[in-house]
Amino acid sequence: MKTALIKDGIKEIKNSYKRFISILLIVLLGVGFFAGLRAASPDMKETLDEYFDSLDVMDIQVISTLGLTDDDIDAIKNVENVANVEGAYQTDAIVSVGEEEFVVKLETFSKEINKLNLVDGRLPENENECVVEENFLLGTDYSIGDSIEIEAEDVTNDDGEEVKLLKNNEVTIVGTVKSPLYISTDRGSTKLGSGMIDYYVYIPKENIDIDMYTNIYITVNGAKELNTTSNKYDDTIEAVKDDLEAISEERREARYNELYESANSKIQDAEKELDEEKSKAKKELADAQKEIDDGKREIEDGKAEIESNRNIAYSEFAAAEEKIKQGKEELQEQKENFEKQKADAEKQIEEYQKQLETLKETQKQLKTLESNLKIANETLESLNNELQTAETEEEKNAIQVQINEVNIKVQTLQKTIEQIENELENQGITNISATIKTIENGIKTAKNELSNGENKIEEAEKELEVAQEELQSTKNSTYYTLNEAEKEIEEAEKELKDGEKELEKARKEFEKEIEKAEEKLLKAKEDLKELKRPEWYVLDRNTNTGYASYVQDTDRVASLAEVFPVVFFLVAALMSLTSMARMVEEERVQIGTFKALGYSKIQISRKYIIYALIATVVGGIIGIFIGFNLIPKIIADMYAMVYEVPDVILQFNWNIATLGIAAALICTLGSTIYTCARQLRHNPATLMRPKSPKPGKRVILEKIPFIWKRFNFTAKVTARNVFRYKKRFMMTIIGVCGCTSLIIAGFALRDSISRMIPKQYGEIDKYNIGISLKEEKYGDNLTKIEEELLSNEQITNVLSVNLQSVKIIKDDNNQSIQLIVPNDITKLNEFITLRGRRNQDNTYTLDNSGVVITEKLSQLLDIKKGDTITLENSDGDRSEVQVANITENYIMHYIYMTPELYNEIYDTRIESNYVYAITNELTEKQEDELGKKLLSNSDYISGVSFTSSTEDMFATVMDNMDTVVWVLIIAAGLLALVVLYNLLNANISERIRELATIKVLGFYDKEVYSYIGRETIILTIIGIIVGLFGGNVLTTYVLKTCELDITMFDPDIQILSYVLGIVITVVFAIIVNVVTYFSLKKIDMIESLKSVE
Amino acid sequence: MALEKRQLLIYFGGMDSATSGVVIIDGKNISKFKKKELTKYRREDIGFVFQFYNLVPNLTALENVELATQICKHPLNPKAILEKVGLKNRLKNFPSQLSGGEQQRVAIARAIAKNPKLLLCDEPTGALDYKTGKQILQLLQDTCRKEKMTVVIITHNSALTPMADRVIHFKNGTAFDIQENPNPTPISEIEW
Repeated sequence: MKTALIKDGIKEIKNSYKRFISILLIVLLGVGFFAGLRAASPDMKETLDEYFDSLDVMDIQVISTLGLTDDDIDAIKNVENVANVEGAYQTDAIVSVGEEEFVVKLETFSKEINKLNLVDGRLPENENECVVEENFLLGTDYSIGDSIEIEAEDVTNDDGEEVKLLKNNEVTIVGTVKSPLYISTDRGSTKLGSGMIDYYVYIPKENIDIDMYTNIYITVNGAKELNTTSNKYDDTIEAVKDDLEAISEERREARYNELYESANSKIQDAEKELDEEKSKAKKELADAQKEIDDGKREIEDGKAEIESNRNIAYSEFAAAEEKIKQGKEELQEQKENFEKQKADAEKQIEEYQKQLETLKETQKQLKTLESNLKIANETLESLNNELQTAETEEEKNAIQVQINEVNIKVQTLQKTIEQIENELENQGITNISATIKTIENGIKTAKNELSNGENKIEEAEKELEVAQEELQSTKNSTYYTLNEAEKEIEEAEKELKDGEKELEKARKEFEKEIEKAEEKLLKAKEDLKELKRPEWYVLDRNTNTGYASYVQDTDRVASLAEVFPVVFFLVAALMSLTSMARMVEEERVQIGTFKALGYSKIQISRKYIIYALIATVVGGIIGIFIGFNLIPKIIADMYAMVYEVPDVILQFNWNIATLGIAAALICTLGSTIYTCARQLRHNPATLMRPKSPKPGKRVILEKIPFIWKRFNFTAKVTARNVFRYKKRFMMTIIGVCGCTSLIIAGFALRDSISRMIPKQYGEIDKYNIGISLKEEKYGDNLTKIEEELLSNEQITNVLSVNLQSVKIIKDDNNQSIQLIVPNDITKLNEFITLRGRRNQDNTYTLDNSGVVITEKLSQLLDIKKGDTITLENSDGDRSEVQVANITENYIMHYIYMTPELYNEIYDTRIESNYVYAITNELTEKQEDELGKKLLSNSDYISGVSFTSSTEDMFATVMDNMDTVVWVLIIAAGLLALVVLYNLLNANISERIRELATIKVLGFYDKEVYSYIGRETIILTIIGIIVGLFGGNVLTTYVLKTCELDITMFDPDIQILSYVLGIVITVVFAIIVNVVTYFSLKKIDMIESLKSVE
Repeated sequence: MALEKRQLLIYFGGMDSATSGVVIIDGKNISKFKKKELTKYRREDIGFVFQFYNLVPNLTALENVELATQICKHPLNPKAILEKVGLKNRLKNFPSQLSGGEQQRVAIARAIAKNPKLLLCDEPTGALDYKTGKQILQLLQDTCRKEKMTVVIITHNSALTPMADRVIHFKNGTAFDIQENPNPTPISEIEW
C-alpha cells in the first residue's frame, strides 16, 4: 500500500511536473530568501564571536576617572569568575608625517586580552617599537621599518607632577595589525587636531613612563564558550559586572586616599619649600642691594680722586709750559746776539780772505818771476858755454848778441823782484808764506768760533724741543690715565645701573614666582579639596562603538528577513492552494471512487499531502542551501567595507532551516489539506459526478454600464474571467507585484546609494579640499593664510571655518556631530549648499536666528524646524539654540551656525581652524602634488584632505550594490515566472475544454491566445501597478533598514527605477506569454468532444 | 464513442486533415487544407453542436452566441437567433442557470448564428432527456427547413433516422448504406 502510494505519488509528479516545479520553485525562493536573510545576522554575529574569541577580546573593561593601579588589578582578580585581568594605557596622540599631522589612538597592547590580529611584520618586542593599523601605512606613505614621532600630551602622575607619558617618542613601526576593538571605521572623537581620530597605534607597555592604567580589561570564565550576542552571555557578564561594581566602592576609596595623601604631602612639601625659597631669595636680594650700594660709594670716591688729580696735573703742566716759554725767549735773545757776532766775524773773515788772496797773488807773481829769472840764468849759462865752444866768429857774435839780450832780461827781472820785495817790506811783511799762514789760521779760528756758536744755539733749541715733547707726552699720558679712570668709573656706573635693574627684575621675578608658587599651592589645595572620589565605569562590549554598531547592523539585516520572504510565502500559499485545488478537482472522480470504496479521508488525502510535501521539502532544502550560502555572504561582503572582521562564517542554522521549511509547509500543506478537506466533505456520489462548473457571475464592472458598454466582447470575457478565479487573481497580482517591487527596490537602492556621493560631494559640499590648520586663527592672521592659499594657482576660492565636534544633549544620543561655523557667511553658499531635499531650489541662508542642522540628524533625534536644542561645544559649554532649518545631507551629521550666534551663545570669540578650498579640475596626481605642496610650503597647515578620496571609497560600495541588485532581479524574475507560469498552466489545464471549443468555433491561434492571454496581461498590469506602490514601500523600508546612523539614503525613487521595474517585469511576462502561445497552439480540438469528467 | 463517429466529426468539422482520402465539402477538398485554411473553414462554413453543449460557463447565453458571431463574416443577429430558439427570456442567464435543453438551444443558436454552410451536430440529444431531446430535434429540423441550412446529425441512435432527408450508415469505418427519405417523419411521431 505504502509503496503503491509512493509510486502513485511519483507518477503524479511526473504527470504534472510543471505544477510540481512551480510549487518547488516558489518554496525554494521563499525559504531561500527567508533562510538566507535570517541566517545573515547570526552568521555575522558568529563570525564576530569567533573573531573575538580567537583574540580573547575583553568581556568587561573598567575605566576610572582617576586612573587605575596594580592594586585595582589584584582586587579584580579576586572577583569570582574573572578569568583574566590586564591593565592598559590609552590616550590620544599626534603623529606628524612630514608637514601633516594625524591624530592617533595610542594604546598599549596586551598579550592575554584584546590580542592583536597581526597582518604583516611582527609585534613590538621593546619600547622602541610599535605596530599600526593597515590604513596608517596606506594613508601616510610609511612602511614597516620606518620610525614615527609620537607627540603625546604630558600626564599627571600619582604625585601630581606633570611628566612625559612616553619613554620613547620615536618608535619604529614593526608591523601592521587589526585591533578587535576597532572593527568599524569610526575611531572616535578627540580634543586634538581636527577632532577626529585617524588611526590607532599600539605600543608596548614598557614605553609608558607612568605607573597607572586608564583601562583594565577583564575576561570572564565561561564567556568565551557563549555567543557574544546571546542573552546567556549577557547574563554571565552582568553577574561579574555586578560583583565588580560591588568591589569598586572600596577600590575607589583606596585610590582616593592614595591620591589625597600623595597630593597633601606634596602640598606640605611645597609650602615648606616655598618658605625656604622665600627667605633664601630675600637674603640674596639684600646682599645684592648691599653690593650695589658699595659699588656706588666706590664710584663716588673714584670720581673725586680723578677730579683732584686732574687739577694737580693742570697746574703742573702750566708751570712746565711757562718754563719752556722762558727758555724759548732766552734762546731767541741768544740767537739774535749770535747773529750779530756772526755777521761781524764773517765780515772780518772776508777781509782776511781778500788779504790772503792778494798775498797769494803776489806770491804767485814772485814765484813766476823767480822761475823766469832762473830760466834766463840757465839760458845765459848755456849761451856762455856755447860761446866758448863757438868756432866761428860769426857764431861768436850771434851768441854774444843773445847773451846781451838775456843779460838785459835778467836785469829787468831782478829789478822787478826787488821792487815787489820792497813793497812787501813796506807793508811789514817779511815772510810772505808765514803771513799767509797766520791769516789762514785767523780765518780758521773765526770760522770755528762761528760754528761753535751755531752749535750752541742748536743744542739749546734741541733741549727746548725735548723739554716740550716731554711735557706733551707727560700731558698725554696723564690725561689718558685720567680719562681711562673716568671711563672705568662710567662703566662701573653703568654696570651698577644694570645691576640695579637686574636686581629690580630679580625682585619682581621673585615676587611673581612666589605669587605663582603661592597660587599653585592654593590651587593644589583647592584641587585637593575638590578631589572627588573617582568614578568607576564598568563597561561591557556594548560600549565599544564598532562592536555595538556591528551588532545593530546585523539586527537590521535580520529585520529585512521579516519582509522579503513574506511575499514569497504568501505566493507559495496561494499557489499551493490553486494548484492543489486543481489537482484534487481533476481527480475528483477518483477520490469519489476511493471514498465509495471505503478509504478514509486521511488515506485519500495522503497522496496529495505527500505531493505537496515532497515539493515543499525538496524546494525548501535547495532553498536553504542556496540561501545559507549565498545571501549571508553578499550581505557580509557589503558590511565588510565598513567593518574589519574576517570572512563570514557560513553555518548551517537548524533553527532557521526548520523554521523556514515549517513556514513553507504550513503554506503548502495547509492549503493542500484545506482543499482535500473541502473536497472530501462531499459524499462519494457527488464526487463521482462531474463537478458542476463554477457558475458564471457578473462582475462589478457590469454594474457600471458606462464602462461595460464600451468594452468590446473579448474585453468583457476577459473582465469576467479575471474576477472569476479570486485565488488565482490574488496569487498573480501578489507575485507580479512582488516582482516589480523587488526590482524597483533593487534599482532604487543602488540608485539611492549611487546618488548619495555625487550629491554630497558635488551638489552639497562644493569644495574639493579640507585644510586643517595647526592653530586657531583670527582676523589678519587668517586673511594672510587665506591669501597665501589663494596664491596657489590651482585654488580658486577659500572659506575659513571653525570645525568642532559637538553634542546635542538629548536622551540616548551618542551621535557624533560636527559644528561648522563659517568665518564669512556670505561665502558659505559657494562651498556648502543648504537646501531642502524635496525642494532643491529652496536654499537657506544662515542667519543669527538659529542653526541649520542636517536631515538625518533631525530624523534620528526627532528634531523639527523651530525646535530648541541644547548644544554642547567641544569645550563642554552648553547653550540652547533654535533650529532655523533642516538641510539636505547624506553623509555625517553637521550643524551650521553663524559666528555671531556662536559668540553670543557661548560668550566667546570664535576662531577658524579649518579651511575649505575649491580648486580647478585636478587629476589624482595633481591633487597629490597640491597636497604635498600645501603641506610643505607652510607651517600652519596640519592636514589636507581631498573629497575625491572619499568618493573613491564609495565606488567599491557600488560594485557590491550591483550584486544585490542582481540577486533581487533574479529572485524577482523567478517569482514572476513561477507565478505567471502557474497562472497559465492553471488556465490552460482547467479550461482546456473551453479552449478546444473556441478553436473548433474557428478562432485563429492569435485569437485563442488573446482570449486567454489578455487575462495574464491584465493581471500583470494590475500586479505592476500595485508593485509600483509596493516598490515604493519596500524601498523606503529597505533603505531605512540598511541606512547607517551617519548616512542617509535619498528615499526618493527615480522614475528610471520604476521604469526598469515595469520593463523587467514585462519582459518576464512576455517570456511566459510566448510559452503560453505555443502551449495553446498545441491544444487538441478533440478535447472539446470528450465528455465532461 | 465509436471511432467512425469521432473521425467523421474531425474530418467534417475541419479539426484535422485526413492522411489519405478526400473530404469534399461544397466542392472543396478540405482534406488538403492547411491549418490556417482549416481554421477559416471552421470559422466560416461550419456550425458545431456538441454533445455536451460546450458553452463557456463564464458567459451568458447571449454572450456565448456572440462568442461565435464576432468572428465570422455574415453572422445573424444573436438576439434574434436566441429568440428563435425560444430563449428570449434567458439572454442574460449563465449556462449554470439554464437547464440541459436550454443549454443545448444556446449551443445550437451559437452554431446557427454563424450562418454556416453546414451545421454539424454531435449526438445533440445524447445528454438530454426524451422530451427535451425531441424539442431540440424539432429545432434542428425547423432550422433546416426554414433557414435552408444543411444539418448533419451524427448519432448512434438509429431511431432518429426517419426524421432525416438522407441517412448514411457507418460500420467499421465505412459507409455501408445510404438511403434517401423522400418523406421524413415529423419529429413528434418519432419514438425511442
